[in-house]
Amino acid sequence: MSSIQDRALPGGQTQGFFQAITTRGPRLWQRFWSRSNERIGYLFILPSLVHTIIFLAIPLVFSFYLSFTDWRGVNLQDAPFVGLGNYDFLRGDRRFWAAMLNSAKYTLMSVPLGMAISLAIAVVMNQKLRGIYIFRTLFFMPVISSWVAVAVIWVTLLDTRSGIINWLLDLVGLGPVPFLQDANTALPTLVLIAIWKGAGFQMVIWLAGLQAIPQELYEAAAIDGGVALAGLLAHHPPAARAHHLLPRGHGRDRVIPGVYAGVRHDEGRAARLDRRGGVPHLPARVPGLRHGVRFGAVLGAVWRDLHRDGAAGVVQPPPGRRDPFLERAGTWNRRWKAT
Amino acid sequence: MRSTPRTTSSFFTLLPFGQYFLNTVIVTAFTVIGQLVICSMAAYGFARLNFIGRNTIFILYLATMMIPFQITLIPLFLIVHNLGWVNSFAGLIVPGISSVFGIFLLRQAFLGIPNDYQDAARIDGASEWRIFAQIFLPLTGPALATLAVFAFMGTWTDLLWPLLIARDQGMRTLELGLAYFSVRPNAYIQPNWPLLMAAAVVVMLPVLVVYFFAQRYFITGIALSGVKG
Repeated sequence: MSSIQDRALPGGQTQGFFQAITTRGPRLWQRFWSRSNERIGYLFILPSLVHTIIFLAIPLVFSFYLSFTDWRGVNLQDAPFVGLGNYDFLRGDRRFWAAMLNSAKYTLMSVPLGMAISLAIAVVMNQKLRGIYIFRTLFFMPVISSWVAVAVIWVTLLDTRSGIINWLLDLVGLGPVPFLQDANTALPTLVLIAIWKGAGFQMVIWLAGLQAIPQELYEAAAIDGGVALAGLLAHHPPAARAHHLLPRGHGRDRVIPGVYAGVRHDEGRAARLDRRGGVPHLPARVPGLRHGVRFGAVLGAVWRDLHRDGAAGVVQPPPGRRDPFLERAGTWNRRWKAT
Repeated sequence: MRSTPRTTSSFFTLLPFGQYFLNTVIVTAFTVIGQLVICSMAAYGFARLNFIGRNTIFILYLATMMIPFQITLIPLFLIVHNLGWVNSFAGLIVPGISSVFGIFLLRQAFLGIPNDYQDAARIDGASEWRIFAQIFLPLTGPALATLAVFAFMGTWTDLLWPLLIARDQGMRTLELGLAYFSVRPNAYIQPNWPLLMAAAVVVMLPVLVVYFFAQRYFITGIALSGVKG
């Protein structure tokens, strides 16, 4: 699985253009159509390549081009080129920066908190109990519920006058909290709703990671007298971490939730808040922040993957970095068997 | 409890939910099958065959994975419009029959299978297609099940794309019907909440059933194809 084919040809750096075409052209072609090139590979990727070019690459490039025009969406002849005009406008637009800030806040709150909560759920759901599948399915229900229904339910629950949450808060003397109506509480509330809805999906990914952890680690921890929580903190993250490289919410409609849950049901309120400095309004989920971080992680993993030698699929730990816990577990097992 | 029969009967008579259900089943079935076929083929090419430019193309593929659907939405609609697929099953299905995510997922699963299987089959004179269909596909069952569940969930609950493509009743999907329930003409008219909730449960039910029975494969599939590192 080496990638020699992708590398540039050596030598020939001082050739002229004509010479390059006449002497190197045929060689390049020969090399391209050589025996080591498994040409059937092109046939295998052809359907997806055609699909990706038509329905992904062309729209992408076209969207990028449109960002330099003043297209009003009527017909394509009516799209005057304005250069960097749109970007210049955004640079000076207060609402845009408010939206960017809100996106950053939203991401910084929801990603760590969502990961922590879903990990906790996954650890509980990782036990071998009768009927555990039913509980896992229950936690998965919000993931597949429609945002329409979810928004209605949360708005009802959080209502200041008739909502059950405010009624409970009222019982302990913490007066009504306008969760979705106050500019200070709206964003954290949306974060919590989004976490509630997405935790089931992240739980599945964590579960996959947790189940890949060898059983010996748990046994060793039990022998060491490790408390469950300490064991969790010590062993789960390194072993299960990699699974969070999987994209979070890759579905088409999953990018809207922040907007849909909070704004859609009351456009007037959204507009009011928007004037005050903004809740996540339509351009709020500016792509890039959350996606950028994940992009780096996945690209890094794939890069390593493409450039390694040895067994396919399994990345060996670098020789310098050993897992002390794994070694200790091994020692324990050996000692256990010896006695 | 007394109002339950009334609610459910009006829920089916108010909007043609039978038609919506049929449409959703058709769109979801073709999308899932298309994704399984196209993604597994491409994944085999990327994971198991050496051809010039393979890694470059794959890196480009991955780069598009991070782009939200909303960015390509308008040009994509223009393309589908020019193909004459607005308000048709083709328009609902074809843009979704391949996904970079699916290729990525299955490629990881294919990479986990030892080279020896492929080499042995080649020495025996099997064609690449036969190696793919008779050796690799059966060995990656859980990963295929995972992709099928992902595709099923994504398509069944998709709202944005059907909202753009489906123009009349005959083409609408369940999620659209649900959205129409919650539309209020003005601030003084409340939608029929119990009806909306009943509809939401009915829409959710098939996905729930699929998840319940597939979750064992689902979790194994993610573990099998997850990015280990």
